[in-house]
Amino acid sequence: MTKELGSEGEGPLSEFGQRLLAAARNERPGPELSRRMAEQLNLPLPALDLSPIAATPAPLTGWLAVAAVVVVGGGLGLWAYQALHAPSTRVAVQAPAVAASALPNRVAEARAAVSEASQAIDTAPASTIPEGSASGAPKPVAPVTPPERGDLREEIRLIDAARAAVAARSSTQALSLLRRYSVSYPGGTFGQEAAVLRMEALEQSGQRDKARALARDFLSRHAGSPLAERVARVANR
Amino acid sequence: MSDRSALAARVAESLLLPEPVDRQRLARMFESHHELVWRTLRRRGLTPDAAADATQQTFLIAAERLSDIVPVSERAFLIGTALRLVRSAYRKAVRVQLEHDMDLRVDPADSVIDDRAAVELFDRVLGRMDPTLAEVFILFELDGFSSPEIAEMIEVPLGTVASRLRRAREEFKNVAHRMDPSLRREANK
Repeated sequence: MTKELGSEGEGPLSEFGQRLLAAARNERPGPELSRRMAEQLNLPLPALDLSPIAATPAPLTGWLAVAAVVVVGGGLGLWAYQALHAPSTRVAVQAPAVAASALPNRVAEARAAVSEASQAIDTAPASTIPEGSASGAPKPVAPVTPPERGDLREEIRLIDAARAAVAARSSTQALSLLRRYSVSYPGGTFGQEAAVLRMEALEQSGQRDKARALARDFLSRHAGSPLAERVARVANR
Repeated sequence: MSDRSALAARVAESLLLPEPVDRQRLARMFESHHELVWRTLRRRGLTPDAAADATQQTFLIAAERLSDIVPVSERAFLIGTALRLVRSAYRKAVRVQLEHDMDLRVDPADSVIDDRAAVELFDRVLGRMDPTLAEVFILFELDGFSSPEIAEMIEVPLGTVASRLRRAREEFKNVAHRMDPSLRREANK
């Protein structure tokens, strides 16, 4: 086992050195930075320890603490409601994260909507099934709402940027943007477009096998997609 | 599977492209490790904002690879990814270490330095160290990884980790010693 720094057998670490080491061990991002990171990733605001060194000033510390309590409290409330009403365990388990984030988790919503819709539809094509449509049974989760305008703008911005990166053959940048898109908008409006761009970016980056596998998988599931022809080009290259 | 279930499954598939992410797990990982990832990136020379951006990238990569990450290795995966990002995409963002004498940053008259200044000084000490030594030093002393974990993470033999750590500690002590304002006060008497 490795000994502690400055222990027997090594020269002692001065008080000054220990002071620097302790300060570096305790540094952490300020609440604003943590909030920004969580928001960009579309994740719940983490519980923040606001005590030690913050990298940025924290004028909103008190406000954030109150907001965290309200958000988490609201999440617990919604979770309790769902635990009593939801028929699906999976949705009920996912729901607290949705509420706690105060941001829509479209994956959970899409699953819930699909589950309900399957009770009422026979042959409607996927694209015509209204989110949250249904059967009259009590809804297991909060009503599905269309993306906020700001969200949609951000979706478009990301997809446009990814498309431009692919056109410029900047595959690393394109893949990074598409990762951000898939995490922020798991059931996003442009999911298929993102998937196709990803295949193209992978192909450009030399990961041809992976691109082809994704293309074949896409075609098997979305043969009628308007993007199918473009995907077929990737699959057949 | 009934036609309705099959259709529901297909709709779900189309809505969930690209692959869904286990957001609860990702949120837990973020809550548990984002500070560590950010701090590690800071110690590699990124500014607070650049470290935040690189932290986001690290978690985006983790989100994509989530199904491949063993829960007990989450921390190692995140730090390994963050270090690779620093070496590649964020290489240019690593701030240039100042050439002038870092001792100038510490006023010998000050008996106490605040935390922020102490962190800055720590980074300056690291900036004077061999990068390969500094890397092992950070992983062991700040991030709390064991030597075998570090060996796996940076892909060097265990003996190399032990030797680098020994040299890193010696270097850290020497540089910190030279910067110690209390010693300068003594010398000026």
